[in-house]
Amino acid sequence: MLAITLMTGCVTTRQGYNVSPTSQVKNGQLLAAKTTFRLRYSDSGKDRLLHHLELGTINHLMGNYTQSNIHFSAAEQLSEEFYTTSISEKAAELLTGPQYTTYKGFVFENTFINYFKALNYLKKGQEDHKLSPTEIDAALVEIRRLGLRLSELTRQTGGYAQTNNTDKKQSTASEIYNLFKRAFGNSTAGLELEYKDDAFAHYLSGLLYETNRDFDSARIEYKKAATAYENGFAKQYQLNNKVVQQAWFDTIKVMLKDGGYQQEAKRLINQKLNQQQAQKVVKASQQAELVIIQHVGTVPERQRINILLTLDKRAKSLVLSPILSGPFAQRREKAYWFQMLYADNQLFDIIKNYIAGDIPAAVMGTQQKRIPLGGDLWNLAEDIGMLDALNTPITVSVPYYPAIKPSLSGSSVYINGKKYAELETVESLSLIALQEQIRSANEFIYASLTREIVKAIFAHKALKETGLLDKGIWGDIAKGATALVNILTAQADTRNWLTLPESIKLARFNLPVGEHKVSLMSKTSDGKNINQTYTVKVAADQPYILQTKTYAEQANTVNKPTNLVNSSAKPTHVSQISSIE
Amino acid sequence: MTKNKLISLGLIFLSTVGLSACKSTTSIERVETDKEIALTDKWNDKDSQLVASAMVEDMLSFPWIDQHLQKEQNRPAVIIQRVRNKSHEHIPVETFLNDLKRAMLRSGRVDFVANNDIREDVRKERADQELNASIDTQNAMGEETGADYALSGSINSTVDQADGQRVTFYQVDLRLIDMTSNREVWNGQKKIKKFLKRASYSL
Repeated sequence: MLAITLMTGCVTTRQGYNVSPTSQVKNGQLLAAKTTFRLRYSDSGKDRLLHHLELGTINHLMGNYTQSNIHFSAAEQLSEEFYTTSISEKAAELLTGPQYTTYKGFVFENTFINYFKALNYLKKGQEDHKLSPTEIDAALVEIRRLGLRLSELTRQTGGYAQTNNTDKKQSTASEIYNLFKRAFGNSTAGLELEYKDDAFAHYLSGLLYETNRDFDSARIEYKKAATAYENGFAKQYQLNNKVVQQAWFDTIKVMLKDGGYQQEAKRLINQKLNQQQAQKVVKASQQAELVIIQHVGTVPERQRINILLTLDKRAKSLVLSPILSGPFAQRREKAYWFQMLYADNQLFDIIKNYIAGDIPAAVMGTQQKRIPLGGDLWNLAEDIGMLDALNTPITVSVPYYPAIKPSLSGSSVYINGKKYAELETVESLSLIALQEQIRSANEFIYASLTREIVKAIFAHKALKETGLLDKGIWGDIAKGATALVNILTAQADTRNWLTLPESIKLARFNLPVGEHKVSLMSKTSDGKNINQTYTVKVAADQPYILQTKTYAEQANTVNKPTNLVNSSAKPTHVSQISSIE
Repeated sequence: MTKNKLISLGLIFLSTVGLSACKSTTSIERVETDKEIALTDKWNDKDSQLVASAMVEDMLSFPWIDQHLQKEQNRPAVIIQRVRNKSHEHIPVETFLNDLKRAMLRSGRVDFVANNDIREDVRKERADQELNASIDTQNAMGEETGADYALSGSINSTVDQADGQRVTFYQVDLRLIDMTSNREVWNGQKKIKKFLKRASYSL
């Protein structure tokens, strides 16, 4: 108790929780969102990484690109420092819970630090309609840093390399995974869900190298993007096959621009492009180009499910049952998440329960998870005091992602009134986040179970030592107090970088050199329209990159077009939503 | 020692280490500017100093200055053009270029002419003098010194990392081009290599 109280004393007071900063962002109240995030995350506490990530994004959205990069640089520095695991903090986590420890970010979140920094340099340079070499160089520094992150990631995960060769030596990660798969018979936490590489990050790198006319580097990055998309990234994150074709198209285009790759380009044209694209790619290398990158919405916020852990002495099993609270939709989500990841819904689990002589459990499988403590395990549990400690049920808590509802059903681009292209989703951060959560689901519950059982054992022993257990009402109060401490400290870590876009869409096409009026027409999932208008000046020597963001909340309820002004492009006209900048 | 005492001691230890994680102290001391304090393997002030001193020595040891003096009977004038940063770090190139310029000027053997941005400002000032300064103190237009040589270059880097270890290699290349003949009269190079080792665990 003392330890828990002392540890929680370090925790920053959680203010700003009554307001949703993402709602403020989506409704254009960026200054208010900044204040909310400042209240919620201190720049020196356990949430300091989130402080810099969120303020970095908010400043990016406000057009304060230099300030944004100051925050992202601080975030990058922190992510470097977090390589080293603090044993004292791990020990503290065992006594309290993960939400009281330093937030270290997901791997994919760290990738987006350099992504945003590169965009900031790009947009800062575009303010005068022409990127200066200094800003391109600065953006490319970030692209190189991003490349280092991705290369470390692919080294650890194996990336999306072709796996046709069965004799090929498995990566360390695959070997470890297979070992656990055999041990736990788990079919959900797998390499197929792991964030192994980032095809779009490679694609953006290719685009920036191409902007700098560094065609060798552009070719390498486009090819990495195409290969990653083709070998699994597109399938894993449910992206249209058109993104694979686009990446190959650009690989071939820079080959032709650079010269010296005629044979390989010819081979790739035959293998990867359709007839229409094949004709287009030959001319594309000589034409001016517009690239539109649309950031859509924000990633969902993680929620928590409380799970009751009880002991079934008759069946010698631990029993986990979800506590379904909240509105109906939330209760259903929690039930599905539990069923999908934890419940005894595998044939093997049902047989296991049946063998243990627990027929009702076999029937209740989808709402419960039973962990039989057969043989020596039961004796071990008794020896360490676990069975006594579990006389009072305890609560464990795990994070989950609510169901993903894409905020846009589609986006199209019109130039001077004529439809030019549909934007394709090239990155789905919502799905990356969801899959990473699913992949780690077992780790979370194992850690949570271990932590809460250890806490319960300590608490039970302390009560026994003081003799409180045998003192009637005082014993009941003491047991109640320890159960309360359990509920208060058993909260799952639901933190994540909230202002990351839910998805990124892209379109690129040739345009005649000169000034153009660009309309980005997006349709929300519930059928409302959003119209964002820009004026861009396309030059012959480098692709013009128009990066923008769209939130479904900006849609006008009476279906009138609205505008969101992008600071990288000259606004044609300004509406009420322009205050978001 | 009983098992219970062990548990109590364990709790006290965990509380202590937990509390020490909250402690924050700040201390500041003055240090010599040439003393290396490397907190990370990033490019730092010492790298900048090392590049400047290596380049100055090398630049003055090449025969281009004497050849120019012999031919033109005056000191060569150099303009600093762009040094491209092609590395993975944001490197303030001006710091070592300014060190280099200062050392070269101090040698008394080379002149530097202002670059484009500074020239524009000076020209504005001269235009202002024409209107507002007395005739005796005015500086005439069209008397600027043209550069004989252009200094440019690039910084490249490679990084190799695995399992908490990282080797970073920087290479700074500078070159001096004769603006009349396009001959490269000097080429300087400085290489810097750093090795970083990070522990997986700490207290």
